[in-house]
Amino acid sequence: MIMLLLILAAFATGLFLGLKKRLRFLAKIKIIPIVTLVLLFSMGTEIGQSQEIMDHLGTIGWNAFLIAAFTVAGSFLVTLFFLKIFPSKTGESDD
Amino acid sequence: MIDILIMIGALAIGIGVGNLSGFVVPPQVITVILMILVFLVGVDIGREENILSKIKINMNRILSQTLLTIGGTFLFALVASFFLPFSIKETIGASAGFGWYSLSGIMISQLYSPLLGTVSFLSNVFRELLSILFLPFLAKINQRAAISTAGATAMDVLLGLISKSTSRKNTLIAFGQGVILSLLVPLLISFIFM
Repeated sequence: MIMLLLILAAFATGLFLGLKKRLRFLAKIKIIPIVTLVLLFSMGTEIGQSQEIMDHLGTIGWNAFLIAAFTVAGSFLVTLFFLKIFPSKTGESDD
Repeated sequence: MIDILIMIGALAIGIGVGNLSGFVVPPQVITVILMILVFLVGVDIGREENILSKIKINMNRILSQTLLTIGGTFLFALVASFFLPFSIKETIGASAGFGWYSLSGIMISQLYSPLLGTVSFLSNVFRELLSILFLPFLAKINQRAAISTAGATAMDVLLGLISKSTSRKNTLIAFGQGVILSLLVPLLISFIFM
């Protein structure tokens, strides 16, 4: 919860400064992809270090993968379906 | 495509380093990096003209977007449960992390069972990976439907990729979806496994 609040505060601060047209140079140096890479590396170390997770990757990994594949497909298809069927209610029509 | 490979490469190197050396980037540091990322994305979104009125106009979109993401996830988790050694409740519960694997894994381990907690952890890791892999391609079919696949990670890990693959307006909707889902994940998991 604290983490969520910190992240929201960081976003709000960035948004505020962006609205004030500050820090415009950040857009030029393409820093967002770099930070994303650092974040992915960091999360990798968390996953790799946990022996329990690494040991379970094979046995229950397949079940977990099925759930992931279904939910990724489901969220895409259901959203696509409703955006196409109810474009006005979902706000998709005024693009 | 190169971007995706680089991102997966960064994650793979991280897993290798963590597994072989035992080095882990501390969670507090990860939180700080996340804060830097959302700060930068905030700056990026904020510099768009008239953004505040656009958020107001987009509120309906952000809410419908989030509801569709939840509905699609739970509906297909229900279908998946027929192919798995888990009940409908267990499968929907495991999917209720919406990509936020650390929290869903820990919560389900403590509230229900360590096994399902691990399944939830992994399935949400896979969800994030699948979304990283397919989002750029799915976004060419429909940007908002592609954003749904990112679930709660639309506000952090996937945000960089989303901002590259979709319009600024849809990036804002994605962030809104991530914020609302992140608020809902602990509530939904508590409710499901109560």
